[in-house]
Amino acid sequence: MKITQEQFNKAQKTFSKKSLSDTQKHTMLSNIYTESKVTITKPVVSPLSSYFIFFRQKAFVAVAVMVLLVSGTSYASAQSLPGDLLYGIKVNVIEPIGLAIRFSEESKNEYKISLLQKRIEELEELKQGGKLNEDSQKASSEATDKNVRDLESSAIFDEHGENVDVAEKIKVYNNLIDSEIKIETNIKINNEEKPDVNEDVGGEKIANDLDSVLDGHEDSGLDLGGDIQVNKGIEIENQDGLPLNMEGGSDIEAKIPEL
Amino acid sequence: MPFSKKMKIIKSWIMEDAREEYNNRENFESLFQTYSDVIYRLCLYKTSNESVAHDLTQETFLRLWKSISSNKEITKPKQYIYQIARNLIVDYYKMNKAVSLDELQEEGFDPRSEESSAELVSEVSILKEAIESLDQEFRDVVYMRFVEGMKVKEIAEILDISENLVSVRISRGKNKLKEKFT
Repeated sequence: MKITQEQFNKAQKTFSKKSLSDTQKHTMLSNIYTESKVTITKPVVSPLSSYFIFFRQKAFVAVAVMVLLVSGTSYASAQSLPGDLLYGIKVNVIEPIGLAIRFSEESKNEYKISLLQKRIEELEELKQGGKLNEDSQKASSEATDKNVRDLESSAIFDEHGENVDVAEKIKVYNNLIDSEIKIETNIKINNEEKPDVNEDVGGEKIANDLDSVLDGHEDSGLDLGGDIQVNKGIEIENQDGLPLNMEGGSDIEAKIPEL
Repeated sequence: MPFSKKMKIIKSWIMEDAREEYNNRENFESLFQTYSDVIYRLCLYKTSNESVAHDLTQETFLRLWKSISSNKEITKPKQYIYQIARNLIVDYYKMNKAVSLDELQEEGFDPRSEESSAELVSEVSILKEAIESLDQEFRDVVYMRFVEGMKVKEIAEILDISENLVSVRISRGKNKLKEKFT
């Protein structure tokens, strides 16, 4: 088909006037917005992130509460005494942790001996507070027994097979607790009572006492005269190794100095 | 952070989003008003079917709106719109090529029920016969210049070629077109 320029110009003029009506455009826009709402999934991060902050804060509070609970429990259990609810945590959790963070055998032993001392102090505290009963003694004994078993295998003994420090502490502990639940151990404990010569049965003390009696006479204005011999008899109990070589029931003679 | 302060921040974000959407809509509707008829005529010229041209135009601007609303940076909107329309036209022909007219008629398709008037089909066929007979490089330039009445600068922007090249092609295309007229 041959086309003339006039036909082309006419077609061009008519065609260029072709357009969408306002209604068509309006409908088209409306369709576009409706369809885009269904298909477009725009990521909305910002508002949600505020909730994440909110939850993060909650998590932080939860962690803080847990830390406080754990640290509070640890502190309370560290202060507990045998028979208390938290005493088990103290001897089975906290003290083993304390042992685990010591690396040399020497420091481990020192720590175990300090625990033994702690058991003694606990018993003394219970005694002072009037709380020493069957349950508390049993709890203390169990903890101490465990402690002593550890020391039996790890304590350092001298050439006589003794560890005076440990033995002394076990002895003190056993003196504080009922005889039925005393700690039995293969560690050598010297049960002999060594007399203390400096106690109040010494000769020097007796002489001092006598002086004070005589001084009392001076204060009262009583004239005893010169060279008066006063026999002051003092009853003393049987004691071995007294420096004055006195026997029980004997009298001590003291010369009153001249006035 | 207090609840009221959170709500204030959320409110400001919502307001910001709303403002952004308003700006996007304004930008989009401005492009729609300027180019909807041009794109419609391009689709009509290529398909000779008003209904298809309408759908393709709508699809072109739907894709444009999706790009704008997702904050995609569009540096050359005219070129971008033309590119979408041309791609859609190619897709339309590819799709229709696979289905024969007999198959469409079996499915109830009646070509006579199409809205395109005989006058329109005649006009489009005159333009197409004249322009499509030119070499590939002159077709778009001649169509834009002599059917759409676009300026050299605008054509250069849409086709992403230099204004000088557009002028040369317009001149040569015009001469070649005249040669074809009886």
